[in-house]
Amino acid sequence: MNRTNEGKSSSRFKGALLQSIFRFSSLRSLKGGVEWYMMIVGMLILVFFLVMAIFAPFISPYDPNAMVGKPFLPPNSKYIMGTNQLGQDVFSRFVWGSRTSLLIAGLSTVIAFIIGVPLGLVSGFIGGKLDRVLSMIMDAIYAFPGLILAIAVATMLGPGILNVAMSLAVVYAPTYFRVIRNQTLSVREQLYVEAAKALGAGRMTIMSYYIFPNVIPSVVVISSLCIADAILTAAGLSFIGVGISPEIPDWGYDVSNGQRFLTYRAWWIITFPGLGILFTVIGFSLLGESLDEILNPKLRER
Amino acid sequence: MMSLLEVSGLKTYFYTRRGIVRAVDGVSFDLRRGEALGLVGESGCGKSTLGLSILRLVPPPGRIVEGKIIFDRENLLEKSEKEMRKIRGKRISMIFQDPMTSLNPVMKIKDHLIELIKTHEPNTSVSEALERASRFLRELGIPPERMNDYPHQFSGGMRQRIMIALALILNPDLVIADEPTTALDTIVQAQILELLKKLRDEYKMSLILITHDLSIVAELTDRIAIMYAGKIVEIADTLSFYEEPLHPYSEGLLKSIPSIELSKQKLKSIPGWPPDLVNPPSGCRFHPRCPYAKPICAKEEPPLVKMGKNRIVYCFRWG
Repeated sequence: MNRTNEGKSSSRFKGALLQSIFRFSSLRSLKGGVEWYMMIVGMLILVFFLVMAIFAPFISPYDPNAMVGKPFLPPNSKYIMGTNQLGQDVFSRFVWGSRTSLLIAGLSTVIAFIIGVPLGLVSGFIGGKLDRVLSMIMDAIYAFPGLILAIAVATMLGPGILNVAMSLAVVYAPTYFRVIRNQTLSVREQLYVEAAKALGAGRMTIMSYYIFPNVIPSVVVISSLCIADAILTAAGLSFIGVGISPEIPDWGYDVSNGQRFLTYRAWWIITFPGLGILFTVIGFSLLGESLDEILNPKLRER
Repeated sequence: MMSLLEVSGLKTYFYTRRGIVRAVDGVSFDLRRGEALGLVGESGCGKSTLGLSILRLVPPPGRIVEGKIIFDRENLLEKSEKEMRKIRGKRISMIFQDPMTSLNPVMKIKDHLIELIKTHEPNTSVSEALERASRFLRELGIPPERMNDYPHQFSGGMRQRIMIALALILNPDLVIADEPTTALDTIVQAQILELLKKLRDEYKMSLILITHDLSIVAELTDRIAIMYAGKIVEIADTLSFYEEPLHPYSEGLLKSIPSIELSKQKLKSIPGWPPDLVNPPSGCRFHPRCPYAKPICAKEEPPLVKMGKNRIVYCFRWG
């Protein structure tokens, strides 16, 4: 008797809680401006890591590559994130690793953008044989599993941050190309493009003022996803040994390397760089999604 | 008076998988400076394609196959794409049917106007262009301070005004309005037509008004051309057309307009369907639906018959 009452009241409580959460969130979206909070949070996260990356030499207490203590020390007051299997300070590696990860992610995105977006625009806008050839090449690249392709390119290029970024760009450029090309194909048929033509606009004007701004919002979203993916792929490259050499601290490398020691209950070796990757990815996603809504004047009014 | 535009024997075909669609099949007409011509026909008769052909903007797989478009003594079909671009917007401009989608959603209104002015008159400074744009918009009933807004912040009627502003600000010789009021409600339709009329009187431009709605051309045009299945079947001045349509198709069109006086009379629709332009009927294309059809109509193309001055009809009934 007593129990059923209790169960009832707890389920009622749950319902009320759910309702209030729902009401809260729907109210907030009604008021608008959620995207601004998203952007602020995303920016805060990214600025946090960016500051960490820039001021790494001042923040990190130890040399990230030096053996500074006993291996496998759990987090304590001296080593706030513990030490890894080589006795290196996990916190110092975490701080320095943000540099590498952000640099690789940023560079690869920029390169992929520079390759994929103009090609996609031209291919979709001009069409014909050029479009068919470009699409075929890009689809061929796209058909490869990303990591394997990146391994192949990275092996050819040799180690180094720029080379890793380039090999990642090769993997992600087709994504940009496809999204931009397909968007271009649909925007090209819009009446405002025809109207622009009827008013004497040239090809370059149409591409840069009429098509490019209308396809770019989708790029913002996919780039935030690609950056996240790129960080993980870069980690995979480091793990195999074709990426960055181990003396450059890198979250991906530390995660791949540290997972072996989970069996020793050394959770801290992979948890902190893992959280680093997780939060960077969340930061980029938040920023991407919010920018999409803020930059698109139509969505903004909704 | 000299004619500004002279289209002769124009053929625009679409090469589709189903076959060749003869959207415009040997159309000839002329347009004097300052004159307004209504181009009337049902959906799919090729009237929009004719409008696009004049600007050389027929989308693939369409192609202008034959004919001449003499605009201000020059054949537009012999011009390069670059020369055509200078004509579009500056000397011939176009207003489209759907104002909701004919403005770039990510560009402010002022940027549309500035870009247009700077494309055709590169020496104009931005502030001059802006000044000109705001003066013109005010004339069209749009407060100049709204130039900083995006297209989606305007209503359909306002957007059509903006489209008209874009089409007219450079003072072109010829404006092609492709169903400019179809997407608008009746009251806004009347406003837009009134505006077009006023602007036409003020700027003395020629106008081709493409529409399927005979009731809107009466006020705005000097002459009417009726198009059926890719061909013009009758050209007449507006007044005499409404008094006495000559072609059986024109007659059918007029009978299918509801009017206040004849409210008790039943509306008559034209029996049958518009023909398939891949395999148009032989002879006169209207003969399967024509109440006056004779055996010869199915065999031979109808002759051009001149009726009075400025009036032509393609029909055996009068020839």
